[in-house]
Amino acid sequence: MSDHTGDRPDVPDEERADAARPEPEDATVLDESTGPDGEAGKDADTAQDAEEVTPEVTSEVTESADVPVLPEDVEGTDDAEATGTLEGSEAAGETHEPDEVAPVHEQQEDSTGDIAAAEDVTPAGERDDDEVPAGPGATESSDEGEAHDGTGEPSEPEAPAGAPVTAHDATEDAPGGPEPTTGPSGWRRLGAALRPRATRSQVLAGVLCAALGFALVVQVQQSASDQLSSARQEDLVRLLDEVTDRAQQLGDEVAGLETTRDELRSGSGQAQSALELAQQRAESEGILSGRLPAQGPGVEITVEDPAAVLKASQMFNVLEELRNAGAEVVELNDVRLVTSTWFEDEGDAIVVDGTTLSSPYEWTVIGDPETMDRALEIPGGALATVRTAGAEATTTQQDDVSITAVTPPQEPEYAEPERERG
Amino acid sequence: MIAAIGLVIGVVAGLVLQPTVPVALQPYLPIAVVAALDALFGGLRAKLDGLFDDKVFLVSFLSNVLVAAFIVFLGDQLGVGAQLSTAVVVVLGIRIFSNAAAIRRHLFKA
Repeated sequence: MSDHTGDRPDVPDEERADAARPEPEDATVLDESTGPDGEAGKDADTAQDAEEVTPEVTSEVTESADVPVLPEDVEGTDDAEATGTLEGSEAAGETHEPDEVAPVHEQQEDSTGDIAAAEDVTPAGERDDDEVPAGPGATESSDEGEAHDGTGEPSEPEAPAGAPVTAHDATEDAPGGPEPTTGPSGWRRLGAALRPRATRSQVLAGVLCAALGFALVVQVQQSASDQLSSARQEDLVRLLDEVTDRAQQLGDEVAGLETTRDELRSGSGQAQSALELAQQRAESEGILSGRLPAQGPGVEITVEDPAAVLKASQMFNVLEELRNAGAEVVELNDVRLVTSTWFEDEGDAIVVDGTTLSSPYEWTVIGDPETMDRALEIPGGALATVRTAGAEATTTQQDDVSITAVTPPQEPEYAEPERERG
Repeated sequence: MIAAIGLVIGVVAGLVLQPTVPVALQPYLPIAVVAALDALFGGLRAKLDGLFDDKVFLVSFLSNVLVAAFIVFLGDQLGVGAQLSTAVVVVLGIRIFSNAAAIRRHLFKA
């Protein structure tokens, strides 16, 4: 496929070489005579392309017949193409005639098929490929451009004549090939190609382009909509493995996080229970220490002592009796009696915890009512002593008594919690 | 111009019809599309070269598509489908680039 593209840029050089120095040209031909063998035998493409030549040539012939072409033009276009070379060499001398073109192409067909004939053309081509890719092309093209400008039309038809090779067959060529022929006519060719004409090639190109556009859109949508469906089996397997691994990792992570969560939850549960326990303990201790009001079953004791005969020791006996009977909370005339409570005689009055009391003395006690009642009424007991002293004492068992008097807890001045012994 | 219109018609048809690619063709369609793109660029370049020939265009278009799909198919059978697909895409990409370069040289002389 690359053969022809290789040929095209070369030929001009070949031609010039012919004009300038014929002899060294021959030498090169000899040197590279092996080249054509490979090229000529190489492709079916060449053969096919050679076949392609004929329709093009005829068309060119007609067109060139229409428009008389300046010799310069001929040279310019010939430079570009292999077939043109032969043509040009012949045409250069004479005023070119369309008839001559056809034989030239035939000769070129021979050259592609035939080694001997190809020797003239191809070797130069190979040499040029390396040496002078763009340089001659540029100069030639500039000449050609002027020629085109002068003549206008003729340049167009001639370009297709020379090379039957289609560019899409030629991949590698690039550097020098197209340039000589193009000149300013690139846009003009594009415009001509865009001009709608219902020729066979246009319709064919349209159909193929429609097919391409259709397939393109379908494929784009396919890959956009579902990337997996177009994936290969091994890719899918790999993808599946990755997804499985990822799922496993995530599963492990879930397990770890759940464990942590459970630990935290149980930890918070422990803390909660500890808090509740602490609150309960605080309440009970608050009740026992007199810090909190309390209610519950108990007894109420009323001691009337209008003559103020009672002493603090007797009141203290009553309190001790109550404690022995299991009294939990004791209140005396709105004074909460706790462990640090003290009684004192002050004249005829009785002072409790700094508060002076007066008759009647109202005891409110929470505890087991029957036990306390029985304990208080023991013969020779606390209330008996009070009554002996001349006061009146009555005891009433109650299902529910409430004690609202509180005493602020005192910070122990000397005692402190026992340190843990290490 | 007709080619451009055909391209637009094809795109519109694809968008409207929303066809589903048969499972058997799914591995080959993208490669075939790339091959067709290559043929299209080659044809455009040939047009600018003045070498355009509809028969060659048709043959190269179809053969490009078929050969590319066949190579991929062969690769799948041999177990190197992914690698061969890559190879085909690379080759076609190079061709497209070179054709695009030639077209650019035609149009911009640079």
